[in-house]
Amino acid sequence: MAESLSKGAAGAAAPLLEVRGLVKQFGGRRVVDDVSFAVARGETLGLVGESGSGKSTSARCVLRMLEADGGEIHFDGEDVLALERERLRRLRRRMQVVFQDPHGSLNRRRTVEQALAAPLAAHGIGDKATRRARVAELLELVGLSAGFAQRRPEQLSGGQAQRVAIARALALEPEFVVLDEAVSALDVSVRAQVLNLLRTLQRELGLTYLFISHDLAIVRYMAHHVAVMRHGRIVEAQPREQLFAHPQHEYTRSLMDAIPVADPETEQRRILGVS
Amino acid sequence: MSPALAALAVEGLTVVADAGRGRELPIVRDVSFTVARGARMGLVGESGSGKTMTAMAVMGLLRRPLRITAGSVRLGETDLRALRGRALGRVRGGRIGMIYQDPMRSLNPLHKVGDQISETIRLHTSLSRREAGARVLELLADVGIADAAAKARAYPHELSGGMRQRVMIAMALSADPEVLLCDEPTTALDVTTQRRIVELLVRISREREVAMVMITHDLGVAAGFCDEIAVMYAGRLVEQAPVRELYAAPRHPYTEALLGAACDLTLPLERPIPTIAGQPPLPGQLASGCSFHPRCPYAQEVCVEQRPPLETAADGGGRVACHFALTREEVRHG
Repeated sequence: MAESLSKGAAGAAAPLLEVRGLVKQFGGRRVVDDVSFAVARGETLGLVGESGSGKSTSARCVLRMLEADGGEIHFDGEDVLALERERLRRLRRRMQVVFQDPHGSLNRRRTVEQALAAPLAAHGIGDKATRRARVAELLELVGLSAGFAQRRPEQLSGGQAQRVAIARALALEPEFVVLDEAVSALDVSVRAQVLNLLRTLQRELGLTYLFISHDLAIVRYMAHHVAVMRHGRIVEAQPREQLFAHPQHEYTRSLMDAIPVADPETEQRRILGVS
Repeated sequence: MSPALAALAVEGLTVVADAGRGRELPIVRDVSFTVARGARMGLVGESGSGKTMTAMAVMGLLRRPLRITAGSVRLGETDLRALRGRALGRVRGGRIGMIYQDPMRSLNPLHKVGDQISETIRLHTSLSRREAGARVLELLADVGIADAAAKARAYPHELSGGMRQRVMIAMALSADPEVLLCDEPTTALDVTTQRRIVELLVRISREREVAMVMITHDLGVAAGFCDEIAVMYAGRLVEQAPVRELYAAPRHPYTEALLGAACDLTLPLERPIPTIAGQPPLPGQLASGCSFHPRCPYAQEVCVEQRPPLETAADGGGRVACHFALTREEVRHG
């Protein structure tokens, strides 16, 4: 942790990702409205907000899964929005994404091994034997035994499927991973396992994360910096410690107040007090 | 409290899934609990623990390959398992209702929400169409929907997730139920909306004295909503206690682990979140003895060999199924 923080401080001068004045419209409505943020190398930016706040749309523009209507995106000095097909393809190796629904993002007819080897084959990396070895390595990296290689998605629990999705995202050794509500569908104990795994992977591989979540408690655990979005705009952005100690925006405070605490006394005072 | 006075009394409920060739997988194993009028119980556990199947069995909604093989479900004096056909239909959605995580599952996308509530009202009462229409507006106002007349004319997709959940609650209340089963009613909602729906359900349980069972894996939500918690693991109840006791001093190692893995604003940042090793078991692959023993840090030989019964705790405040509940308690107090 201290290690990744110091790494972050060193990279603070030149962020890995920098987004300036990003705009995305759907049907004339600005879903992302003048959004700017930066993510330092080896760090995590938490993008928090309720559904429809524009956080996922912003991330999709960064990954060029959606075309932005305005603004600038720079990744390691490259102008992402200006990239043509071949250079965009190369850039995409360095940026990956993990979505909320692990089962939905895996092809039901493919084994885990096929799912993990596919991105390697698509980029012409290795032959069959080296790809198989890489699959074994990836499984180990995310804490799954080699036996999982031959399983199909329906033979995986939610947590196991999400580990496979993470392994697939890491197959091409990216530097940057978007985690879009990546633990929101998981049970408490499995969610804790996956969060721990993501922090370990960041430390060991020097990964940079854009961590998208509606849950401030989880963002607090994962992110070095936090940006709070509402109605397509960032209403507050601060280093984690400052944001949680001194939230400036009323909306941030209301989000913090709404997080349930696993303590009946506190929680019932809040709820029964107003009912 | 005598079970006869309970709004809902479930006794020895056992559900299996037929897996073919005479093989039966245990899904719900000998589950018993009661909920008094106006009381709010939480049924807590991870996916696959059997909590939703328990609720579906209570509602009489199980379909093949699932079936109840033993146990009783009583609603006041009524034995629900003895009811068939129209008699069961009158009770279900009438005296006992259920709301789900995804309201779209129960709302018809092609009809205005007001018409759908009105239809439910007329199914369970003798009100005329006009009277039912007036009742719809009352109910929508009751569940905190401002501008009820306009919202009644909306189609489900025109409403936000929180609004749809309010509509579902209004529909469930339309027949004035004694018992409401809520299956992860806030899981799909944003935190601020989640808080308001929990507040609404608490208010309803108090004002109308509706007995509620909330199924959830979120111990934060359960902490605010419930006055009693029952924890399920691998189809069995492993602990039941008043909510404050359970959170302050969990008696079962699984409950303790679940509470430890919960993520809130007090979580220490510098170390990994405590987790429960391994995965919850599949129904066909239950461990011998205590089903939790492969994941339990306190497991001993006896846990592998003998299934601990669910027994009233030494101080009488709840029930727990653990060979070492008493020992652990002594250690805690010693």
